[in-house]
Amino acid sequence: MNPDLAHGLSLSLIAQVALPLLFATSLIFLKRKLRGIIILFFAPIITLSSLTLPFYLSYTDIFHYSIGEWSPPLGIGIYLDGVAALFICLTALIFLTSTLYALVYLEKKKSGNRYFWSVWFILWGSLNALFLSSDIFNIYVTLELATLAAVILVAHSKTTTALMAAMRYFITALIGSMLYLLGVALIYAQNATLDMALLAQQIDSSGLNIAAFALMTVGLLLKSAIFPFHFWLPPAHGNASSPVSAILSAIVVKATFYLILRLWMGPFEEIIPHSAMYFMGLLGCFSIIWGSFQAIRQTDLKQIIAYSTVAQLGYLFLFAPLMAIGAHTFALNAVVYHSISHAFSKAALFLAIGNIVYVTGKRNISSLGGIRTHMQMSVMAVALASVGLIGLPPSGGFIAKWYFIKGAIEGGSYFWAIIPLIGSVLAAIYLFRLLEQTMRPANESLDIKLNKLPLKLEVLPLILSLISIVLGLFASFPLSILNKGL
Amino acid sequence: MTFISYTVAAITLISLGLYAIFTQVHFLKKIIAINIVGHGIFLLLVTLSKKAGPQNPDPVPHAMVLTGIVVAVSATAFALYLCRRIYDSSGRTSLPEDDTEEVKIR
Repeated sequence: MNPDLAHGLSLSLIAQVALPLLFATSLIFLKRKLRGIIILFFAPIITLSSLTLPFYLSYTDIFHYSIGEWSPPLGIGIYLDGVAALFICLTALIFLTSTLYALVYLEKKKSGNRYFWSVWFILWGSLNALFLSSDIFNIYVTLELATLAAVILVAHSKTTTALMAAMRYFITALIGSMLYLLGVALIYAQNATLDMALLAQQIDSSGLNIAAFALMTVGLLLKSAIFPFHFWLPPAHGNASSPVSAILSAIVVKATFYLILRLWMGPFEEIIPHSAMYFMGLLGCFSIIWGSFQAIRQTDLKQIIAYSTVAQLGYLFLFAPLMAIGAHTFALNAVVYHSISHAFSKAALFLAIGNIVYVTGKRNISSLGGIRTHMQMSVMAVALASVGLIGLPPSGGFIAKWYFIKGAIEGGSYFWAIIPLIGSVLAAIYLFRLLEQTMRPANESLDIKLNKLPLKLEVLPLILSLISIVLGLFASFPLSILNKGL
Repeated sequence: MTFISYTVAAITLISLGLYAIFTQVHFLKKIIAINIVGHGIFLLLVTLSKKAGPQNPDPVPHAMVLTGIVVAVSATAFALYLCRRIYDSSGRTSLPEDDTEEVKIR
């Protein structure tokens, strides 16, 4: 890579973190009218700067950059590879659509204020920092920043239930970060470095390293809502306002999964016992089955979608058993593609359901009857997003499941090939239950007064759900970026 | 010897804190417990810097502790605020234990 290009890329990497944070601080000082215009102007700029990253990767596989020329172990390293680039682009696209949605939605609800928007962009910046960081202590800081911002956004809807959910989320997340930090301390005690690349070269399977690995993993699992640590997720995601639920379910929970993936396929790869990989896979299975059953049982619309997130997160952890049977490439392709496709479908679902709740004023599944004629685009978005979540062809979810099953079969283990299929059937049950209700005539006894819905709110979830379908038709480009460094 | 006694103290703080997080229900007690775990970890980190030698201790753990304290203070501040808001709006000082209680709040 020539020096000019490397310089441009390093500036662009810093911009991923600096732009949202600078922007977040300046938003506090702006008046309401001006704020809306500035957000409309700057959010696309940040997104565009993120979307350039994959193109830099056509010149190089992996890019290391040391901030202020202080190289690790003294300085903090920044690191870009295919996985990081894809997650940053995903974050940018979901945030852009949710920002546009939130601008209209919160204006109508009269609940958007300067602090909300500041925290919103801080979350964006800290997630980008988290994806780029290669220093495990720096990751702790970005993780805490992201958690704080996420909890503040949940608490923003100000109902008692939302405040309670925020508190439950916060306490769980704090315990998670404490365990992670303890793991970091043990790693430093044993290896005297915090940089992931340096750690990968010198780590050995001593007791202290294994203990650190276990602590860090459990801490991150607590935050990624895997069974049996899923209890905080449905109330938090179900009670936040819709654009917030969309980014929480689509991206924030995946940030901790991303760290687990980076640690397991990076520094810890050589020292993880196979039993731990299979155990992780079993936790994933339990999440899929338990989350789906709970989603089938719920009658509250947002709770159905929130439990569906628990189930869909379960798939991500199937990468561990696939690693154990030697299907690394398949595992990586499957989980990253599943993350991307799930993010678009889930964001679309939360925004579309947000529209339905906005129009009817009710959150119960029985209030869906008759709305089809009032808001065709939202119902269409729900249907298309369901196709993606169930994993029917030609959606992106289908490609991800294909890789899961192919990896499992090539590794010679049929058990792990059946799990995604069971998950698909269960997902079909809870999503068809929702769609079936929208086909019914209006329930007169409920006496629902319909609010008028702005067109912008209808279009955005439809765009997201279309992307989740299109991802299946044009899978080769994202997958080629992903497989660069392999 | 001091190294061992400091490590033991740190581990004791961490385990006491973790025990309290899971057994106490009051928000304030949970927040204090989380802080105790945090300070146990900070103590452990400060102790680790001695490994480089008694004359010139390793500065990296110090930097980590300083950053950690800043994070812990801001997290605690927000947790206290949240606790206050919940008390103002519902009079509660603990999380609902089961689903039936949760429904009642709604």
